[in-house]
Amino acid sequence: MSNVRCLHKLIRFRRLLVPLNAPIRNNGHLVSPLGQSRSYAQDSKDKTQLEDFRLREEQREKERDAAEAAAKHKQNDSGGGGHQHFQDAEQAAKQAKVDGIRQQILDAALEHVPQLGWTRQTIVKGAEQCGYPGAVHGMFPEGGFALVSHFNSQSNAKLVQILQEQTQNGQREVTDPLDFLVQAVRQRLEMIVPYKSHWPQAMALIAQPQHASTALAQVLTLVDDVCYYSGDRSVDFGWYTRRIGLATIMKMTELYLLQDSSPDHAQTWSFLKHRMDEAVQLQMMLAQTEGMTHTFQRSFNSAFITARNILGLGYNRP
Amino acid sequence: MQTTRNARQLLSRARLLLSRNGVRTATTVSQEKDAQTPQSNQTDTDQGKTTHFGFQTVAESEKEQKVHEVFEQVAQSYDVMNDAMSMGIHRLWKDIFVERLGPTHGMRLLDMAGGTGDITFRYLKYLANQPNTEGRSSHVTISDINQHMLNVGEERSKRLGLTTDKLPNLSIDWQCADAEKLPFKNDEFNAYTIAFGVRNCTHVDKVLSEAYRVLQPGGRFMCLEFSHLTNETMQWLYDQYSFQVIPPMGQLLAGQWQAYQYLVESIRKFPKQEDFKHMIEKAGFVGVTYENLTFGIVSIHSGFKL
Repeated sequence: MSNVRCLHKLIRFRRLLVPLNAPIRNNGHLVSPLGQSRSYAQDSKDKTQLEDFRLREEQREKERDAAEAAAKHKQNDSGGGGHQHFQDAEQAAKQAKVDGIRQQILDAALEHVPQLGWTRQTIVKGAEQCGYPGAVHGMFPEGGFALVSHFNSQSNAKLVQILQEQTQNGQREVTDPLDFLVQAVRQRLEMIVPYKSHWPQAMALIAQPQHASTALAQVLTLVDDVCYYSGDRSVDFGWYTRRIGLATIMKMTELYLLQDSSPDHAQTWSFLKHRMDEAVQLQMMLAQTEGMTHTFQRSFNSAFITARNILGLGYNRP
Repeated sequence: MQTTRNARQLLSRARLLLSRNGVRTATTVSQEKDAQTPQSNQTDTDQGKTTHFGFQTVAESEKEQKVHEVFEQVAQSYDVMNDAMSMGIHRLWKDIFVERLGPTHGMRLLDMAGGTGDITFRYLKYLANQPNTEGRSSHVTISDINQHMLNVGEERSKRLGLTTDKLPNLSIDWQCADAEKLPFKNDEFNAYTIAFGVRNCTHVDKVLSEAYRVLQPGGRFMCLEFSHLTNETMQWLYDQYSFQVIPPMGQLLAGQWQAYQYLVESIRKFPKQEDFKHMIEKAGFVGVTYENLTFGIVSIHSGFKL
């Protein structure tokens, strides 16, 4: 860093030295250190001074960045940065090991959910099954919700994989988007069926305010993925209405599923189909009105971007 | 630091007055014995390595003895003084600490520096409130370097009715031990707690590595300790309270000025939250986190042996 500071001093001195070495007479005035004639009025003089200041600072920044990059490059080559890299790699390996054990315990705990529900006890049982003492439940300070969010993210990932296979990574044309959506929602809800007896407890945990950010993020990214693979490439306001609408329908159907006792949940799927048809009709009606303003769009947009950022998923779609 | 220097000057003048009147306090005795050494953390002198004892510098071999003396003197009035100094908040801290540990049936806990048994009793009560459907038995070994503190704890446990014969599926063991050299086998416990004890140990890294040794894989290390406040103004206020109020209170309630002077000084000497976290990681624990309570007056550190 010291060589960068010297560089700055050099630049500053050079600019000051120029008029001393070669005083140029321009229109009867001495050239100022800025190299500008002072024949303008006061405010425009200030403006040009400001612009020159900005240019100077930008120049300095560029030189500073270049010098830092050069220094870092030199450090990497010499191997002095090698030690830091090793430490970072070690930390990353440790973190990966801890994450692996977390996944293992939660996966084992899922088997005990139908008996014990989504609680700390379930995690303890899962941990003991993996050979760890009950004290490791301290790794999951959110308790039952850790299990719920793990299950949700696992199911979402499974669904995304199924959709990718069906559409061949979004390349193949989807002939009937409505039916595609219905099938996707149905497949996702069928993953809940084995845990149906304790699912109300899971929904209660999701609804708690301290978990709201993670839960909301998971729902929004799921809905986003489903709509994308169904072929939605819209760039108008319909992007938001479609996703919010799909999320609403999915939640409604989930609630219906919990109290459905028909064979193979046939009534739930017909409920789902009817809600989808209604949504299409509603959308056609809304498309005819042009009421939505820019601020609405922006606020909706921010919710989705925040959701993806919370979950650490970028928009790097295959 | 200006204010603490003033406080110490005040105190030294007070001691001078007392000594002139012929009263020998613990400090005047130790002052007659101690040489005036400059303040430093770890320096190699002719006698050997030195360490801090509050704001004093003492030889490492002496610190254990001095800490032992401190707790001998305060053992009887320890609980009363805790309540007075923290205005009862220490009960909440310990409640939160045990809640964070989340005892489950089948746990084998080593309560280090357990002394008068605050953490152990909370652990036993927590387990008694959990349904034990599988009939698993749990265990707690409460350990302290000072036998007097353990004796006070045993008396309390009898008074509260928290003994092995009264509690089903729970066994309690009282053991006098040094945290740096534990007399237990490897992998014997699955939880290790040390509440307000680690700052009194001479070699904290040895305590941490011993903790790592006696914990089984998956075991949890938890430490409740006074720490540094996040807010500068609040730290100043806390300093004023610590140095101006606590030692006189100790003199009034327990007849021990110097012991409580040592206590508040040792809090300042303890590493900050992040530094202690690095020390725990160096001992081999993973997933190390810390949680500040009451703006950082105390901090709960937790790590796992995986």
